[in-house]
Amino acid sequence: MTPDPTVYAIRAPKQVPLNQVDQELSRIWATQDDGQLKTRASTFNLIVFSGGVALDLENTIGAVAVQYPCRTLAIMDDPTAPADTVATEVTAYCPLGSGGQPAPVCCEYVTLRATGNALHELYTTVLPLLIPDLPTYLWWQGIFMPTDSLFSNLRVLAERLIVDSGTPGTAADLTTLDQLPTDQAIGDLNWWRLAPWRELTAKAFDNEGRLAALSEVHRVELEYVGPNLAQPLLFLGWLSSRLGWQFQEQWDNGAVVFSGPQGEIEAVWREVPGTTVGALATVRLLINNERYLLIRSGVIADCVQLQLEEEGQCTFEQVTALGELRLDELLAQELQTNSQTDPYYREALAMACTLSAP
Amino acid sequence: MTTLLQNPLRAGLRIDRLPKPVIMVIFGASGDLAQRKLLPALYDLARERNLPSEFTVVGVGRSPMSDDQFRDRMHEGVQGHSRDFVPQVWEDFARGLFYFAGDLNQPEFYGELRTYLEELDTKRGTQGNRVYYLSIPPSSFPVLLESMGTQGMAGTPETVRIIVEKPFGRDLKTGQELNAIVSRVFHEDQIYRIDHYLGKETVQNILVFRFANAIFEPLWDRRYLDHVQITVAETVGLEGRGKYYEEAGALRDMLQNHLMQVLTLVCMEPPAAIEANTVRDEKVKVLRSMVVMDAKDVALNTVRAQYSRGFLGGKAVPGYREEGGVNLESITPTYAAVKLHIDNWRWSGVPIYLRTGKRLAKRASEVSLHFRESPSHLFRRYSTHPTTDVLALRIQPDEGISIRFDAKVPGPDITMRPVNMDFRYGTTFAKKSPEAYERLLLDCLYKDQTLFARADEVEYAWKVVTPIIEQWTQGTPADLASYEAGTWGPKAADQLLNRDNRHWRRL
Repeated sequence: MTPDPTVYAIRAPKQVPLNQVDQELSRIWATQDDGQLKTRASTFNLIVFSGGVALDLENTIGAVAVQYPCRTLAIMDDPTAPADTVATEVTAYCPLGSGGQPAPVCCEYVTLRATGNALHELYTTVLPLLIPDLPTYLWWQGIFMPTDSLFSNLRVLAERLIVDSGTPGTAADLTTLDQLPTDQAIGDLNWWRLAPWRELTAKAFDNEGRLAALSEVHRVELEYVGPNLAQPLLFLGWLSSRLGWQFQEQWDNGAVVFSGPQGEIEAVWREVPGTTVGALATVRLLINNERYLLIRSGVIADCVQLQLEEEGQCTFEQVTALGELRLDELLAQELQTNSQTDPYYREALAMACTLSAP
Repeated sequence: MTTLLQNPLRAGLRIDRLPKPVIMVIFGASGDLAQRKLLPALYDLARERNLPSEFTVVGVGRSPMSDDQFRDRMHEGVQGHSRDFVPQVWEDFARGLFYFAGDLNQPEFYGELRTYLEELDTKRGTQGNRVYYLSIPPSSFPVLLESMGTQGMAGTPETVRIIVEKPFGRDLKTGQELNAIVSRVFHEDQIYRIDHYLGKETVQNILVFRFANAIFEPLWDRRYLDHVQITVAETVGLEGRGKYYEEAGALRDMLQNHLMQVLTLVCMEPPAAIEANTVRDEKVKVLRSMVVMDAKDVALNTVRAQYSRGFLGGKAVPGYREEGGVNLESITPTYAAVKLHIDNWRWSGVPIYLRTGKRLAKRASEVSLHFRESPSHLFRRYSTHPTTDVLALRIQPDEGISIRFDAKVPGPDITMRPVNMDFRYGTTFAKKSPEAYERLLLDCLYKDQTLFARADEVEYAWKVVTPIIEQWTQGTPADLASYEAGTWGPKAADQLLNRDNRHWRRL
């Protein structure tokens, strides 16, 4: 395992029996530098699950370690793990600050490798390893299986389920997410990727004079980098639910039709080439009287450009930084919110599911 | 401020409100403050999408400069001092920067300025909204303010605000005069007296720490506390501001504003709400309860000193009187230590010790609450070091909170040692705090005065400090203690506490 180069292990991962995890962690902290007990702050427990292959461990460690001090329990479905037992490794990671100096925000990292029954029953192994009285989040990176006993047990244990509908292959399926109980708090990292797009779209209509134009939108055109459709669907789900549009039908050419307070609205999306899989590339809202709002990435490096055109003239323009958000940045945004599901995400998700399977 | 919830797309977004489109007019824009602090803060706000796209800055100064020259100059500052410089975002932001040159002492200049701003309103869609930032010496205020009033530029609290930089006067009399001058033209709801100390996250956290947690507040009074110390120590010298500092000194530069602001937050009663006037009412009550010293008290309870040459960080540094712009026989204090009393139900009998100085051993700002000794003598004979429990709020650097208490050393005997329980922002939150000016400028744009000083607050602080200034001014050079640069200040400051059988906390 070679973790993210921006973090370093306080000590090499060490295999220990399950019942000695806490003692080993205490030993790691107690033997730092001058032998004094270092600051050992913790703000939450994070259970990370990845089905099958190596859990993208490098990114996970990097993403977690640069955020908050916490205890991470990384569960790996490892076919090479001994049958009916859980192999446990313990270490702690700290990020490297500016100039390569270790930063003081560190996370305890416990890796649990198991397979078969030992994996499915891992819930009871996890329980005593959690730091008491702190929030627990479940970051499910694996294939999404709501009926899986490990998932259903861990889900109940956690205050919030974190998924990423934008990761092809291991992504949470939007429909499956929508079918989770409504009291299940969900955080979708892909929703945070859309945040700048939603903010910019909203910003174009903050001006009182332009606010009225929202009800005059009659066509929405979206471009995205395929094949993952989650972003355009969630964006359209958000826009339509916020503006009170009702889904009517899907035409043979793939366009969907909504009915809005001022009439019909047509929406289309199409795939364009690009490097960031699943990313929204262009949003174009056509408004009555030859006006349109255009938000697009890729024209100016690492930025999104917003333009409002009225009668052939650009009346409003803004450039906003939008580099591709790293996993740790997305996770940071998710962990900074409270534990409830964003109700606007739920609305958008429900509409996205309607659009994906009308 | 405009609430944007009428825009249905705003609901649930990180920013559910934006300031109204506005022109921020910075008087004194060719100065350091604009380049190093104000524009970088505004740019960072824009980069994080906290400003409306119509947001406009007009720099006003005496030096002739084109818009492009002004942008170039600000570009340097923003590139060097912003938290994250993105060239493309800067270009977009810079399109909203303009410069208007003129003589601020000429009343007719303000008519031209008003016309210019009205033209920009049409061009930029700023709807007549203004924030005037006075980054100029108070001596320029009378003409400026009177002319703005004459030209009808004062508007209403809804449309126009004015930010005033410290110093808010030189003493009680000039503080009152300054307030009177500003309030002849602007309503108090329009006046934002900025003290960047209040924009610091850790200063704001004092309120959260005290009033969001139930476990500390019951201990926060004369029944359990022996005394309180507030320290703001700097390692820097004058940094080319000799002329200013000669006029100001440690009391005016730091104590009357930064330290007194921190003191009021530490000592205030819980406000009924986190709302501008409610919070400031409580702060004023503290200041009104402070015991104003007479001449005898000043001699007994204050220490002033000036640094002499010494070594800091392994380098030789000059003494104060050797700095540029400083009188060779100057008696301006660069260090002040003061013992204050608050005569109210909570604090009666609990002295508050303040100290601040330049060229001290370490840059450190901290509030420490020192608890009374435990009433029982059970363990006194086992303690190797007689200590009391301390709760310390570190403002900078290494921001955090620590509690010192006694613990038993493991072993068959009872041996005790003080231990620290430490919370550090840096080890708990990886997120960077915004710069103080960012927070304060945004608050002003939102029309939130909570973190700005009110007129009466400034005047009551002067009421406490002015008698000390008067006594110190009447003194002779012999009254002024000296301390070597790179040390923790004069011996007299140690004696101030030793007399009370206390000592300064070692930082």
